Amino acid sequence: MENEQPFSIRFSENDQEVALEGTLRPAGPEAFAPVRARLDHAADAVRGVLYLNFKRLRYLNHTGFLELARFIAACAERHPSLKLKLVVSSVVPWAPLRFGFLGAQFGNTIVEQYDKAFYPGQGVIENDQLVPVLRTQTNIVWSHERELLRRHGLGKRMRIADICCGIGDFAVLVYKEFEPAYIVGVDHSRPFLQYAQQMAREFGITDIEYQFGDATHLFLPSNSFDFVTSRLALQIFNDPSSILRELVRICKPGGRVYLTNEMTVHNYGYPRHESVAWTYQHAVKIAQSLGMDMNFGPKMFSLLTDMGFEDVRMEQIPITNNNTAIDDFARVIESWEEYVTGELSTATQQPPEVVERLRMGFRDHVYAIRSRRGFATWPIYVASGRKPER
Amino acid sequence: MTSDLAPPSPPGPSPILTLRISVRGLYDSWTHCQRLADYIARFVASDRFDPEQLTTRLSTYLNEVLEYVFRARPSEGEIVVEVGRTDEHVIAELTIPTDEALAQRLRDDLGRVAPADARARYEAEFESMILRPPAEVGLLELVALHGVELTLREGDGAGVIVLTVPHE
Repeated sequence: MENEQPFSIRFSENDQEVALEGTLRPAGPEAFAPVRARLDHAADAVRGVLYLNFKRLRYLNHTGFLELARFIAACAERHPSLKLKLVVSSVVPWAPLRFGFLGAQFGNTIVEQYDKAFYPGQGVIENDQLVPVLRTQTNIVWSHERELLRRHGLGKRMRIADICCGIGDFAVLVYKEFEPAYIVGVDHSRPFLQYAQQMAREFGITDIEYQFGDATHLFLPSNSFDFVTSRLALQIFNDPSSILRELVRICKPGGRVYLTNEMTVHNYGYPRHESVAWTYQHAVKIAQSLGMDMNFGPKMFSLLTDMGFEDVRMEQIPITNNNTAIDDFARVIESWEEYVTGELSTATQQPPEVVERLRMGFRDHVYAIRSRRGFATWPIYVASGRKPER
Repeated sequence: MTSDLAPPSPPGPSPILTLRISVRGLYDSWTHCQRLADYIARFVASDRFDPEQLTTRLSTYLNEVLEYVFRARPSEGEIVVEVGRTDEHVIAELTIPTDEALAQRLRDDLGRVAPADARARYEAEFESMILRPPAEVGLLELVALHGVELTLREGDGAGVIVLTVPHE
């Protein structure tokens, strides 16, 4: 769906970085000469490390690849103390193979696949252990969100992008309810995307496109979607504004960006509310140590406002044990218990007594959900804003 | 009465598209290689899992083969691109009109990209290739680094370069 991207090269002396983007398919050394001149200029202008940023270079022919190799070889001679750091993304499938090869060939070259660790919590977020958590969450949230989406501007036959789509179930539900003209889900977890694809296939849905991608460097065209969503995702990144900038870029002027995030310390369960509160406060701290902000929800209003969105709307999905299927709600909390006391506690090396106390808090939350006299909440914050026409 | 039935041959690729381009048309512009590669890749990948990833890979590989054909300069005639797929692979066949000299060149170049030693040769000769790239170097890299299969089939006055690409 994307149009051909023209080639661009930018040098930032301040960052000692050359960013190459788009399509670079020269016919020969002559056609590559302007690029080589920019690279030589950059190499002359810096000391220590020169970063070559290939994150958005989608196409490079072998002629261009050899010319880059020639530049690296020349650098080794002309600037023996200069290191070249090639920054590549696994989203461009040929890049790790080719640049990894260059890294092995040249002693002055280091290759960094930046999206192997582009946010601190990635290792515990992008694996299939999280699938049951996500699945149950969507089940419970959708019954509330279905109507709420209309209030935030989602209508029929729109072009929709669901960024950080996870296991893709929201995209399926939106597809069924809103009959979009086009819908694409992007995520950086291959296990999630495989699950998404399998689920769509089982439901006989072939019109949802799923892409492996990096939310901070999307290969989606600018100004091309009526409705851009990112649900329960910004809170797990250490640099949410870098994603938000991409959401804005792909949104059409006049279109809306729609976000949901939590305020985990607002999760509540009575009667054992102190135990519940301790667990969520501590879970937030654990998440914080991995760069996540699980209290991000209420901050969205100011973030969207500061970014120049118009008609910013914000509300809360008030999930409680009075308005939600008890078993579903309890299953969500049980899946959190499993995830936080398992994967997350292991990754952050929590002592056994802390894990046990965390576990008790989740169980007390479930008790509150199931108890005839109990009251339990899980509020989710929803915000959307309109991208200005200009 | 008995009969010796041959075992059924494995099913061939399901055809997806066939394109015919005049040799002159291709030579009008170097950028035709990438436009054609991008178009074919996008068409073939459109209904697959993660079409953007498959498009990027297919376009990268097809473009390399088309650039090789562009440089090989066949004489007058038509280049035919036929693309099909099996459960595991996308298979693209590029039929190129050949005279004797070009047929020999295809034989030589494709003969030098055999998968058995492609990686070792690419690594060993990389330094010299940077300075003086051999004609088949782009094809060699496809086999050596990207796990693509390239073979040559010869017909009457034509060579067929067969590119076999795993779906994932």
